[in-house]
Amino acid sequence: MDVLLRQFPRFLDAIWLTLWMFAVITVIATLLGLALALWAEGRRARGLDLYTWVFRGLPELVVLLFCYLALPYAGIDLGSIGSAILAFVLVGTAFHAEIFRASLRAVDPRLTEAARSLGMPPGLRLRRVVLPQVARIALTPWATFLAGNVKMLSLASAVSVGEVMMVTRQSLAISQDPLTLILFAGAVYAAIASLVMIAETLIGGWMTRRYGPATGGT
Amino acid sequence: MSGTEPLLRVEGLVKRLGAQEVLKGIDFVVHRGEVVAIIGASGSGKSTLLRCLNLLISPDNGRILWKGREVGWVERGGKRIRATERELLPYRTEIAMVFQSFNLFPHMTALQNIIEAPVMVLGRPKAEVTAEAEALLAKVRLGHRKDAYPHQMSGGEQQRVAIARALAMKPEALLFDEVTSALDPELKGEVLAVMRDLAAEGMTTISVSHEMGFVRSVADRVIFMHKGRVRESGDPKTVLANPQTPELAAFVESVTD
Amino acid sequence: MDWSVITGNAGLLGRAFLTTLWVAGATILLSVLLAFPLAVMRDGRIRALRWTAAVFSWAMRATPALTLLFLSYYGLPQIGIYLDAVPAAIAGLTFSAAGYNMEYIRAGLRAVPATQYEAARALGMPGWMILRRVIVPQAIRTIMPPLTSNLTLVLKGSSLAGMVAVTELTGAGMALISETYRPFEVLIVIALAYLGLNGLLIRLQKLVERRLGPGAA
Repeated sequence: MDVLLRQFPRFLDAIWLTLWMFAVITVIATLLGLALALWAEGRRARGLDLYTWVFRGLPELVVLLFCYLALPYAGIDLGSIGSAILAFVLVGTAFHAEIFRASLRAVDPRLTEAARSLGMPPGLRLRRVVLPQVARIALTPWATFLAGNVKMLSLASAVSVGEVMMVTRQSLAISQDPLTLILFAGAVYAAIASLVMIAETLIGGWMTRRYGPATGGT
Repeated sequence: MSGTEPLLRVEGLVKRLGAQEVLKGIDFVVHRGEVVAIIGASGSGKSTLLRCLNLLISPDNGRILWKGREVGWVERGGKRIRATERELLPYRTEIAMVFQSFNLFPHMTALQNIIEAPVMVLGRPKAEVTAEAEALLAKVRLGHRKDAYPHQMSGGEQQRVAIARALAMKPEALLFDEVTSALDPELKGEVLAVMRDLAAEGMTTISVSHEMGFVRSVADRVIFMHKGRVRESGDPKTVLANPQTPELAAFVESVTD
Repeated sequence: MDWSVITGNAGLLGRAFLTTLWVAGATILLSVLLAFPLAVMRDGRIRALRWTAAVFSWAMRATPALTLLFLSYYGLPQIGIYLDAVPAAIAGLTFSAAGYNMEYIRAGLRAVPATQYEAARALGMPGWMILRRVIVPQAIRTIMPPLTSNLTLVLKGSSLAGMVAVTELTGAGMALISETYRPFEVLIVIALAYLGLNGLLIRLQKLVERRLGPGAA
């Protein structure tokens, strides 16, 4: 307990770093995933299929080690935080691309037809009609992935990113009470993951009350 | 030429879906202000025909002339090639469509659904369009529902909003694709009343419909389709009372209640 | 590229591959065995057990697998339980996977119509017999597809064991890299091994879906 108290300021910094990395990774990976899904729509995107298969199939730790240990040999040295962000963006983009591809396919084609009959050009159709439906359909799988992804950030400690798990591991070395430290770290991740899921429930509920069921009220 | 040229002329329209020929050469004309009803058993190609008319699906053969000019094809480098989706958009804004399943945008209120295309596609000022949209909602007897979302409205209300949405584009013709088929009997009446009003105002409409009462009393002309061809057409009272083909006789028999 | 790093350490990598299979396989088996009674408890008649199972499920799914691994490797000795690295890793990963498996099994059990319980009770069958003879055979069709797709996650998760001194594929890779400074060669070979195993699991998943999917006997 005393180690936890003494290390508390470092834990606060670590929590902040974890949240910050999570936000950056989420924004970049979501946008890239969405862009890839839109690009792949209506074509045989073999390249994207291969990409998502590889990065969804590899352990996150292996991707992380690759970015941190191998890339510097190719002249790309991103440092520990940079490597971790790159690795999680690579993995996250693969998952997000699949989530958005499935969501795009699930949009009611009759809405697109209605938009075409109103003379809406493709870009406008996408922005005003299709993407709002995608946002609703993708919300739950997207949030579920993010909640899992928060926990995966603990792996960044393997490449000495000073996030929560790293501080925990360093504190373990000087503590007689590893149980408390590890439980505390677990609680921090559990809290963030739970917040993501609670936010998803609230937003999803609000959207259902306002706009009706997600797969179109027709 | 312009005085006698029909609003819409369809010549030898052919549409194949896979190996099957859904439309096998359709010819007809629609004059300004006419109310045309297309009837026929399911699978006769009525809905496909309607979607070909505003080029939501492109026909494989034949011509569609809108105000005397062919649509769906463009001249480029001396060659006749299919128009792109973008090139078709101006035409679609002139011939609006109402669907069987309403297809309102679920994330927009009734009013937002109506003003969306005039503002975003035609680029008209929002205040002006909003005033018109409110007038249109009043006209379809939904002035009180302008802030309702589609899921909060009955099917009949949704369909009337969809009609107002189509009218807001100030189209020169309206396509109705079985607009009452998805409605409970007690809700059909309110939609049919709106369609009667439009006919009385001189709106050009082409409807695919199973409402024989509406067809008899409102349509100027009926077109009976069977297996991808027009089998009979003419004044609904004469045609329906006196079928010339066994197919129409059977169809009239099946829908008379 | 210098592949002698790989050929020279083929024995180590081979053993590491087997360790990965062992850790992942044991985790799969044990986590299902653990999850099953918990899923039954979760919807059972005893309130205390229902709550215990619910809290367990939430805690296991909300906590990082790495935390659970550290808990069993560094934490358990504190309360007098000493495990070797491999059993400790398997224990941590099993708890993590059990949280998810529990939910799949529970969803499957719930998908069996209540009338089936009634019919079985009317025949005078005792509770465990209803479960074994009536409910589980029907629920298995709903349970198997998500359970097999979870195998991919378990395989990926087994890489974490490398962080508590288990020389499975990733752990062996890390050791080799720090010894030879050939991260490209080592990581490519390891990645291919994981992708190969993953491909096999996806095959298995498709097979299960075909066998148990709609229209299957």
